[in-house]
Amino acid sequence: MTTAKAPKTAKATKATKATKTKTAANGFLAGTPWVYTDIVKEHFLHPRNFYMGDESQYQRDGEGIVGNPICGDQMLMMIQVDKETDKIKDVKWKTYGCASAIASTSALSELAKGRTLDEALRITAEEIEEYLGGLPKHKFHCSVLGHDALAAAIKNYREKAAN
Amino acid sequence: MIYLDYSATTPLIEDAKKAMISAMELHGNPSALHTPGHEAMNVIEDAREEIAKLINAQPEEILFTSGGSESNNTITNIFAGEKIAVSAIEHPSVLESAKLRCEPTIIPVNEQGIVEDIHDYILGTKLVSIMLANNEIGTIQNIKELAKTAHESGALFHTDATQALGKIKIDVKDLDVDYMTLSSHKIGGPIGIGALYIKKGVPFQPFIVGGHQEHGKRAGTYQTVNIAGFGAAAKYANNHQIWDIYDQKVRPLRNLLAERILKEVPFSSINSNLETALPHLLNCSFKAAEGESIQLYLDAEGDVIVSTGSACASGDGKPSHVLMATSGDAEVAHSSIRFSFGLDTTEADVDHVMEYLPGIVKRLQGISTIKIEEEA
Repeated sequence: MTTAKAPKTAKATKATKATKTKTAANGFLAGTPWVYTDIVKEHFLHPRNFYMGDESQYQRDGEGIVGNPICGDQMLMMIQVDKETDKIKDVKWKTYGCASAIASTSALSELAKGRTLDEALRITAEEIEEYLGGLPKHKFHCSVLGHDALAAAIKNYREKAAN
Repeated sequence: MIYLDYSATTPLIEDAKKAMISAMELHGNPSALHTPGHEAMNVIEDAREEIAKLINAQPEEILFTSGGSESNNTITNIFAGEKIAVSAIEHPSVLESAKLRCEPTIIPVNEQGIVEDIHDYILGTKLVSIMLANNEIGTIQNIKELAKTAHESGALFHTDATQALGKIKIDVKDLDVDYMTLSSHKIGGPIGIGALYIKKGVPFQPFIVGGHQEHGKRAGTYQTVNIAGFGAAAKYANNHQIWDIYDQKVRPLRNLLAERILKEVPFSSINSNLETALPHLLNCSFKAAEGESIQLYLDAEGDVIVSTGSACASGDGKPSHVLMATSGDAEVAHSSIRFSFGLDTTEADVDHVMEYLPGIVKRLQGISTIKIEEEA
């Protein structure tokens, strides 16, 4: 929409497209007082390893889901496992939730990739929080749930492998 | 920046800023009888007149407070220990303070947030408190009718007009209310100042005691600068009849955004009733996309500023009590976004929002665990 991009002479506070981006970067991304750290913002704005669209298309060896949309947060973790090494080859996730939920699930997916299943099971909520450089206290318990989903995915894989 | 969070707070208007800077030169305590004191008191009384005029009250019926929350707390304090009735969608400063001090009966609302028949809830109550317009979805109540019912039952009537002030024409005599809460920073005045309309002759008790200011109705040295700003904002509203501008200029823009959201954003719904809600406010929900994430993406990527009823943004971990009362659906509340327009919002702003919003919502829906039906 060219109208929205055009500089607005009527309002001095409104800037061109180029400076808008700059304002956004200064306001939200940079170190202005904000409840989230820069690493949380980075993982929220550029999440890693998410799965977009119909996840039934993703070939997985195990999956786990935790949380509840009624509470405002839900995470699904899907893993591919290298049977030789017992390592997580690939992780994909989906999340319904706030910035902290998206960022913590993204962070967890980075932490989990390449680890053996036993190592992955030892990932705690505290480790995810540490990786993100901290989370607001009131966000921690409701939004850092991914490790439980990952544990459920590993359990799901091991049950399937045992049968 | 496209600021669409005017219901949270409005930018200070130029007139208010000028009046405040000018009032900063006054150094007398307004209660003092010397010349500098009188000069400061004159500024306060001028402001009081403008605020009274804005709601068709007498100046002596206007009490300055620190804001809407103090005004509401003052009301529940008058009725401490008494049975009162309040609606389920009141501001927390009514709901929480009523629970703290009074014996409140909570009056439910219908799906559109409207308080219907109150007869069953007000028997034996000393006060009924129902907001003129809701802060989250904009529902305007039929206060005239509700106040009449309350009075017939022997109860006094308070209405919180914080959100309604300036957006619609308000006349306390026509509404026939006994108390009304007002706030400065929703009409372009400064934060930290508000008022309470107290009809002549109704019961009153000061909330803050220990000083003779405001004829003994509220202790504390007058906030000359803030009062001057509030007065200037009220004067602007009176002189420009801003409720007409909201109706004629802002309402069509709000309706345009609603129309475009329904058309261009998949699985969107409108929580505000466009016929009966405040003209500048639009509350929507986006299935499978969480409100705080939408809000922060709009901020970071589109430089669009809005608010949400999601629990994640509330600070108390609970989804909006208003959307819970109207929809009963936590997902609707978690996935809600409130757009609130100002007098200078333009069609280009609506275009700008719609440049970013559909993509952000679709992306969040794409990575969501909540299933949505594929579009045909």
